[in-house]
Amino acid sequence: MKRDIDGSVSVNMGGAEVGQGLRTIVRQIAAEALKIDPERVRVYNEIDTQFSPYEWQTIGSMFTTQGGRAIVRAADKLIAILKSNASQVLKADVDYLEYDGDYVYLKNDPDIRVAVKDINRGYITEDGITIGEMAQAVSDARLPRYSNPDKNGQGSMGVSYTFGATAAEIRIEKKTGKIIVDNFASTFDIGQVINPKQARGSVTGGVLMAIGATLYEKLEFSEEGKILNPHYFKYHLPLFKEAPKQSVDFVETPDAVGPFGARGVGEHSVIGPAPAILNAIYDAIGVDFYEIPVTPDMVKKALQTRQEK
Amino acid sequence: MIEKISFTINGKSVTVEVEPEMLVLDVLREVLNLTGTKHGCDNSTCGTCTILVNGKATKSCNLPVKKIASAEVVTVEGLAKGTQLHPVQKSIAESGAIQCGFCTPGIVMELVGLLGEKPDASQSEIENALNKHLCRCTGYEPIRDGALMAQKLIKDR
Repeated sequence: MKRDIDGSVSVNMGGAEVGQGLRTIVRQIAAEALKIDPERVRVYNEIDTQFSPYEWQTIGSMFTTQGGRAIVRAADKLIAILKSNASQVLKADVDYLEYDGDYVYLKNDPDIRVAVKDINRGYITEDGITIGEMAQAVSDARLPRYSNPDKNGQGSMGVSYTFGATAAEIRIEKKTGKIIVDNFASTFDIGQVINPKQARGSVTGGVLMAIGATLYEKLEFSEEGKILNPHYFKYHLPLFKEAPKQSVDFVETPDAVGPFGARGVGEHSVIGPAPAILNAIYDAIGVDFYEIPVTPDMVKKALQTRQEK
Repeated sequence: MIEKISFTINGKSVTVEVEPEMLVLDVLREVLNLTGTKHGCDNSTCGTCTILVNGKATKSCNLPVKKIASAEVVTVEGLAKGTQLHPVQKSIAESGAIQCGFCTPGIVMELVGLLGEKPDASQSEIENALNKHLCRCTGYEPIRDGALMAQKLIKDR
């Protein structure tokens, strides 16, 4: 992370952006930690093991927690460099200094201050001598005590856990066995929400992926193991008209590890829909299904069996 | 047999020398290097190849290039005027409708076609148009919100 001569910030970070909005929250977290507008933070678009900082994997719904901590730690180091430069200029010890994004100033007399722009590359004195350090910092983060499972299969496999609840409201067309999901609700406790639109998008997409698995998507294999339906008109992905109206809410219980109390969310939205829908089917027609997808034929057959009984 | 086929692409006249049966999608991506239009499936079901031919939203994956001789073709690269986005682009970008972005160009062209022809399209006409496009990332809701936002911007212009 470096502070450029105009006071803007460039962040070089691993982490794979695939549309989930990773670079946007890097920008937001860096801006928050450095107390400047996100518009003044630039995140590199290219990642390459040749020049990007190390990233284990972008995985586990945990970039916000782990990557976010690395950003905050780098920002703290960068601010310490600025304060150290300022302490020489203002002739005061570092512990009397405060940083507000654009200035470092004396706590007990804020008019005694120096602009960050003047100490980004060290400070050039009147006779042209430069003192101090460049405002650039590298840091990283690991999840604390994140471990392999022990011989009993136990261990700290997640460090921070995002809990949630989901509900489905469905209708069943008796004649065809078709299941229509009218409304779907998801709530997750993700600590400090950093980007509400992106967090919501993550959930609405995951819910629909799971609805596809629950009601429509089935790979058919031949005896030799060849896929028989590798086409979108035979392997049914949910369409616009099959999407339920979704309500998404977040509870914000602060996380002890993540940046500004944030916790990760990513895979979570895919977990609830299948059991919620299958429970709703049971609520509607008293039939338990134990495999997915639950196709219209399966529902029709179940209704007939129930009729006969 | 290679033929010369001429049409306008994003306001510019071009002549390509290709087999007349070559698919427009392949001409756009391989010959003209316009990779905004996507190749998402092999059976015309996903919608990511959608472009405008004479103002109408049209799939390019099953259209032989001989069929667009002398036509006016617009792809997603032809929408913005410099840095000024088309209202559909602006709305789709702002409504959270873009995650991986793969379905986006096709949806944007579909809406540019529909709202260009019928700025007063009904909600159900818009929904029928969106139903022709597969999206995996968003759950479709923000795409519909973006479409309605775009309609408002276009009608208020």
